[in-house]
Amino acid sequence: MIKIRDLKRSFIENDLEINCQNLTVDTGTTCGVCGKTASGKTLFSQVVSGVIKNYSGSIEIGMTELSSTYRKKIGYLPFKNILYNDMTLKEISVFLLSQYKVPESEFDLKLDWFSQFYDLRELVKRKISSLSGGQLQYIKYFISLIHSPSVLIIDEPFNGLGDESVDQVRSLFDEVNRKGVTILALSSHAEYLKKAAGSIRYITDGKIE
Amino acid sequence: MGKLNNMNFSVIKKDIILILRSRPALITISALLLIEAVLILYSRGIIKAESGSDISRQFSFMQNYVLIFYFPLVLVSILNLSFSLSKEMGSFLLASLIPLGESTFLRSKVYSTVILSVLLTFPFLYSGIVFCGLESFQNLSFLAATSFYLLFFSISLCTFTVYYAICFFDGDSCYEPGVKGIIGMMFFVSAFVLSSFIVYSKGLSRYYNYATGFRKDYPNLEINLMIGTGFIFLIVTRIMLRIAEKKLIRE
Repeated sequence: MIKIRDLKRSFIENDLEINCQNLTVDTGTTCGVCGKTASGKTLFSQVVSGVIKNYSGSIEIGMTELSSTYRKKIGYLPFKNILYNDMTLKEISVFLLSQYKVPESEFDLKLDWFSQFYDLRELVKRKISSLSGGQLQYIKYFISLIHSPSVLIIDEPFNGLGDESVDQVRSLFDEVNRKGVTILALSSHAEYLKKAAGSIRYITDGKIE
Repeated sequence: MGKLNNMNFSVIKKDIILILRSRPALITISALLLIEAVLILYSRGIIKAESGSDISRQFSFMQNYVLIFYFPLVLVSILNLSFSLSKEMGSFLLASLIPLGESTFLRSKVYSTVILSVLLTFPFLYSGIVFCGLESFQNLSFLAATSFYLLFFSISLCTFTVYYAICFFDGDSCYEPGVKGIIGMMFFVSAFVLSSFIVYSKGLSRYYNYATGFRKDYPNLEINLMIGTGFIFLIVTRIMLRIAEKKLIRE
């Protein structure tokens, strides 16, 4: 579950204040947050995922206040590519699994599970820099779920994906929700998000309505 | 105090991959190995031609080897900053998503640089001593003292360069250095290397006194002082690393 109350965080350089009075996403459900370009979606997603600190108000993940020790519970899929371009999917995955203290043997199991949405098995040994935008987006999904988080925060879930992929994303969200994972997805594609998310909120100039 | 980092071999492996997958870095490291091999063969030729040179000549060779030792050490630190740290900072969001990520990532940068430096410097030094027949230095106590001192210094220098980049390079553009940053780093690294070499030269001259019979005891107080100085380098730079860590976590 994600529970946000009276959240405020100012960004002087962006001339924007993130303001969320009340947002609750129940366990195993998906909430979409729609907003135009530069409405504060990325900043909001980074505050909720704990990347950006020093906010006022409260963010609860599960029943506990967000803190650095709960990074293990959060999966974050950012808009930009934060994976090492010179490494392969397998190398990055093994490295991340070791950091989350998950056995390396889980890699193949997770890869098989993920292949019901998009088959990454042929991409395992390719460097990240050699992948297309769509392939990279699926890899970002895979990586953000690799440590079995209880909350998944996605900044632009359809980035690099075509119209035909909306159903795949929807079925991925459904399957992830079935496993008890709570999803917060932020996008500028309102129609796509309405198809994929159970509930929708809007963000305008940093304010969640 | 809580656990500060989540260090394991896979982090260090990732950092070594990041350096070695960069072609300029790989070419530089290969060229370094080649230069070191040529240097060893060249000095071996000179020493053999002199059919077992005298003890003062051996000490002068050793001093040159130690001077050359610092070159790959500095170069690997620069390669780390140019080809590994900058890539890491481009992906630094990843570190802030992993438990204890910032601290782990920072320390792994130091460890991977130390591993690469040690692989490029120590074999060169030992090969020089063994293959060039510098018999005066084939003394276990001397080699142990030298190894500890240079190892402590190698760790310190690698730590210092990472600290300097985090605290004085432009963090907003993936830790790219400005002119001031480069000049400052050149100054501090030169000062570091010079002070270390002065300390080592003193240690070497004391060993010379022992090898030529002026001194009877070895290892002696002076050698302990040398290792102690190396240890002080280490402690000071560990404090610097903590400062850099706090800066990253705060950001």
